[in-house]
Amino acid sequence: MQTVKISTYQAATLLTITMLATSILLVPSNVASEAGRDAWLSFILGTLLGMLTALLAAALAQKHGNAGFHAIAEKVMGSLPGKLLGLLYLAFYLLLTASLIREFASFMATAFMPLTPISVFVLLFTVSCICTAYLGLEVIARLSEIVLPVIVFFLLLILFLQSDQYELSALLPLLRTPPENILRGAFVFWGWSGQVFFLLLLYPYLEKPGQALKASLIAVSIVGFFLTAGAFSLETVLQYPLTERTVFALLAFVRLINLTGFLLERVDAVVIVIWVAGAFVKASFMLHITSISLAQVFGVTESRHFLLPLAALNSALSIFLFESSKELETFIHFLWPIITLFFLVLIPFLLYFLSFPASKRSSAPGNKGGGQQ
Amino acid sequence: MKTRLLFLCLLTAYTLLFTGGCWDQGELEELALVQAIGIDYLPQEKKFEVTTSIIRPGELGAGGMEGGIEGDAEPMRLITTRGKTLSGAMEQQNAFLSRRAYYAHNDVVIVGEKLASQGMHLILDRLTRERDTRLTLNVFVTGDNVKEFLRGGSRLEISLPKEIRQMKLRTSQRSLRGEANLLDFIQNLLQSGQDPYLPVVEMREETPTSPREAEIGETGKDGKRENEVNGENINGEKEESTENKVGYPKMYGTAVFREDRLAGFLDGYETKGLLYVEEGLIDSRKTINDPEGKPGEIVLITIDNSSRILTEVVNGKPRITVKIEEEGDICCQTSATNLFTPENFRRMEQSKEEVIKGYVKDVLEKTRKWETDIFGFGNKIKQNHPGYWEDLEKGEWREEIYPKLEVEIQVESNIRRTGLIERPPFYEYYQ
Amino acid sequence: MFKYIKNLIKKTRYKSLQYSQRSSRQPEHPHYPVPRALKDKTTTLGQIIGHSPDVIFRRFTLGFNRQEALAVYVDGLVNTEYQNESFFKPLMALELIGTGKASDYETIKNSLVNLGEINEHDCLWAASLTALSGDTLLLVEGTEKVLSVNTRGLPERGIEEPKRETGVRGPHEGFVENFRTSIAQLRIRLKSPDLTFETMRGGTHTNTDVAFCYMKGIANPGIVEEVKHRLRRITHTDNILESGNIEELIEDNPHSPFPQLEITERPDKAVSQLLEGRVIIFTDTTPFVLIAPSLFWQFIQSSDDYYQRWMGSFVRVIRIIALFVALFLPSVYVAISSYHQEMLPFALILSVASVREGIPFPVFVEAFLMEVVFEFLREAGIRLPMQIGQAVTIIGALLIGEAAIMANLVSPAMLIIVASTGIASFLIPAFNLAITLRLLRFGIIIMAGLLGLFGVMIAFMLLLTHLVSLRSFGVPYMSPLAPLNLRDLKNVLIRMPRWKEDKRPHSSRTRDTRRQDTDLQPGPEN
Repeated sequence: MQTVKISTYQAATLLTITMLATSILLVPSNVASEAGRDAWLSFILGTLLGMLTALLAAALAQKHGNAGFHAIAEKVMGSLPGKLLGLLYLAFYLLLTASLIREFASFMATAFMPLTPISVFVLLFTVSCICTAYLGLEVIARLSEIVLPVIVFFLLLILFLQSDQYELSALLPLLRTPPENILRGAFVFWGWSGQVFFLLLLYPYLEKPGQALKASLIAVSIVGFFLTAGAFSLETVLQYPLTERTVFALLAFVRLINLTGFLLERVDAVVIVIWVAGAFVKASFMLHITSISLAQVFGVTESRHFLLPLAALNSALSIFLFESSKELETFIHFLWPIITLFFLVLIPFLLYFLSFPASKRSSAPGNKGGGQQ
Repeated sequence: MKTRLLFLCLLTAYTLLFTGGCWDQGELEELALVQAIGIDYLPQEKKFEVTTSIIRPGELGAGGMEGGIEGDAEPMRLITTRGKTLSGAMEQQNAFLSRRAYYAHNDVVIVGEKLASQGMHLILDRLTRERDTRLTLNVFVTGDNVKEFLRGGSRLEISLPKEIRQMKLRTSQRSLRGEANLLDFIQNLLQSGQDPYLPVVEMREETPTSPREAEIGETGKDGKRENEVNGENINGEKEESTENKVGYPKMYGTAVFREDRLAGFLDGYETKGLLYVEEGLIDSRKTINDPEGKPGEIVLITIDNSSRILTEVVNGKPRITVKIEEEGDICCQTSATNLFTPENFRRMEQSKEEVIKGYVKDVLEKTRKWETDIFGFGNKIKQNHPGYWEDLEKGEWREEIYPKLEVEIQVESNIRRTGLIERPPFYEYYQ
Repeated sequence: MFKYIKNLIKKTRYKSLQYSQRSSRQPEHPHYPVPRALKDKTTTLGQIIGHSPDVIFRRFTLGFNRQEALAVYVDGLVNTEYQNESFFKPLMALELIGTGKASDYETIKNSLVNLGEINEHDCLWAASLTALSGDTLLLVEGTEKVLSVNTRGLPERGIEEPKRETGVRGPHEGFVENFRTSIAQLRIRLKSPDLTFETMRGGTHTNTDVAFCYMKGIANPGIVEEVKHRLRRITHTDNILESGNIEELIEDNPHSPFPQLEITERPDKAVSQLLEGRVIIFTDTTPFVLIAPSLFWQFIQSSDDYYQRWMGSFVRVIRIIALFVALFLPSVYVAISSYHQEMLPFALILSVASVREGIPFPVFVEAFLMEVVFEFLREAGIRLPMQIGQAVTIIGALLIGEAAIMANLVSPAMLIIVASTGIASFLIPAFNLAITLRLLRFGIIIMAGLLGLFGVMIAFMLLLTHLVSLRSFGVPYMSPLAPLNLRDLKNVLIRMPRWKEDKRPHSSRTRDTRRQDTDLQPGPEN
């Protein structure tokens, strides 16, 4: 396996797409149902939380000489527990990828082609992503380099096209929602902004690991910007009670664009472009990560062999894990943040904590968390 | 052997994928393009009546004014069905159709008075949930029979739905009807402290062969719509024959809702009051008396209009100040005065302000009677004084406070331009 | 099929820029040592070359002593006047001391000095090869060497404007088949001693001269080495008739539909590519030269862009739009008409629906059919003689289109779309990329017909993935877009003004990056 190196910019775009691709469509309505009018505040908080996650990831990697996550796990916890942890994470990745594929197929089917069975979308999408993942991380990174500016451009375009409809007064009364709701909303968003954790898995491939922190912080801020802007515009255009009741907020927003004079009437296709391109890159990345982790856990050099079985597994999981769109919705809204918190924040934090030698841990004054003994 | 098995599996997968049928594939000629829907409610039978106006594909592109009487465009076909729910009624339509009913390009929904009085929520769910209807739909209320309305013809455009759509679209800055589409309606409905409204269309019967003007008279103080001239030509004689009459649409006035039930209608002049506060009223003409008291009138036209609603809560009582700013031009003068003295300008402006205040006051009166707050005063109070708002009980605003609300209307209007001539050169004829 | 896919994916893997360990074989030729006696020489040479009617074995006498000598040449390849004047005349007037002595041979050799290129061969096979290229062989008694003298007078086409690479502004010269002349055309424009050439012979039977050149000091030595070794590796193939044969044998990803070497007929383009650090490969008997390495964005650039002030930027933007139109317009139309009718704007729905009334085929079939017919017309237009070819194509298209519309077999909208697509694909300056686009368009139409915009997007993403994974001689194909290189981007979407081009592009991995001073912007104060 030749060594693949990706540049800082590519890492940043890859992470941005990972966090942005699916969240822009699904998250605003979930957060709005928690935080109401002040959803934008939830997003800002969620972004900050994401930045903390990035700091944690970078600190953990740097402490262990810029190694990858599973290598760190094995080093800190020992070989066997490390591998077991790797297997646990494998389950997590599978869940993530399966839910991603299901979200993708669900949106395409609900919004545009309702009579097509979900399995068509799932299969075609998964097979295409496998082809990309087969080609390696370099290709995925380059793909994200091209796709992200396109997504950014279209998002900005959408936000701009509605500029005559923004009614700032719809945001009033400000800050009437109780703080715990806002925090819950931030928590929901953290499920996505915490995915900056995948930086840890990119470390072995970075050209300049020292810049990784900068790249990830930029990635989180871009994602935070777009989601906050998205929430903001949804609040001011679609307005409060509607936002939380529409499932696909971005689509509802785009459907409102009605500049008849310019024939910019029904630009739903833009959402298809953003969605497919973003989800494609993200899914390829996730599949690649899963295969790499599998390879590392089992000590296999060529991770590509895992891809086809992974495709089959993920397709099957995505269909039978969720019976209806309501199940998927509930999963994303309630379960996902908890799972994410556990895997993307808690365990890295634990590893970080454990990576200090035992004496330092118990005797050092400013150490966080409970005691070990 | 393994590769062959793999190959077989993949072949099967691909075959299933690609020959199972393209489930969503359709062709444009498979679709029956619905251009307008009329929905009404029959209270005796407790059923919905849906009338769809579908365009005949043969008439498309060939310039469909052929066939039928002159002035009676025939490119549309109507289908009326009934059902217990809106979706049920729409499903019944399929029995009459040789193509799949396609609502995605339907931009006109006409709601009958009876349905509006029952409550719009009965149809709103279907309109927002399905993916073929967009929130930018134009919804209209009509007092006529919906079925009869859709049978009407169109004056300038090829078909009735197109005419209605263009009326809403192209004359959006005109001053005679409420400006709201489905999104506005829903947003107003869901905001507590605001009641929604919709534009009104109705049918005017006319004989198509002779040129007729569309006439609207001045409104009386009680704002009854019956004041309009119906079926009389210029000399005031009644029409003899009532056969061969075709109805043409007229978009005039606003339907006011109390929550989601119809409360009443505002006519064109009262709508001006609403529109002044809601902003965006231009090209509206007002008549004022001559500033020096001489015989004749001045007509002014609004060029620009903006408004602000200021709220105050004093001693637990809310007070609203509506500030309207308006700019206008002199459009027509039928009196002999020289208007171009600063005094006269000021007097004209004051008269204008009085007129505008009058419009708004009229609307306020009416809506207070109906207990509907279409200006959104409640919403503004909610935004600026959330504490006070939350202490109110449900329905208290609408029923108790709004009718007695202190509303102060401040109008600041200016006259900027005077058209192409200054003093009318024919003023001596005005004496 | 799966294996095929697997191999397809494998082939597009990255190949290293390292010195390849492949053997650099030259075509193996038999070695025939030269016998001393003239008689033996004659017989052996006769056996090697054969006695075709145009191979002339001419006996003549040298000098006063009337020493026998044999000249062998191929009539038709030699310039007879020149040969007579400068070869036979001086030889016949030669003064020789004795017969059969080594010193005689030296004298002979020296006397031919005014002829320019003289080669000595000690292998009859090599000598015969030169005779077949137009040299005249001189065989004398008493020496184990054969002299070959350049008397070439090859039939040649005059220098004309290349038909496929016309431009508004710029020289109207194109390369010719004779690669010496082509090289000369290059030298005229690049009078630099750094211009280095290396030659070899390709094709065991055709023995075509293949030469590649680069600017020493500017081109990356690694790339030069790679080119050299790839060329050496393929020289023992049967024939090399056109640079296309070479292109197919040395590209990184032979299974990819996208071309990885650019072709050009214009010397000025070749020069500008050389100065960016690329390697040019000449092939004798064809005017088309190859440019290595070539990246995707080069295929939508033309040398014309660089000679006008703002036209370059404007045209480039239009070309990129044309690229998307050529690839996606029919598919998007099919997808929206079949699956996503709600996306048609209100104003269009009635007109589009009305034109499709009465058409028996579904949109997908209609689109496919029309595209195929268009391809027929295009191919037909190429084969026909120049004068009537254009007319037939246009008139054929119009008439067939009209008739089809009147018979209600296709809709006018479809015709417009197919015509626009065709025109858009003509905008691509590099015809090898245009061919690729035509090919891919069909695939994307099929995807659109199957799964609407979703299919189009998936096809697009797969295409993008493929593009991004390609490399041309080690350089990523989509540079400078991915991996992003902001400095190089200024020549991709637009064309930065001339005074801003102070560095060479990174995409050719050149060593000498400075091109000109940084303050060359003109203005009143400069």
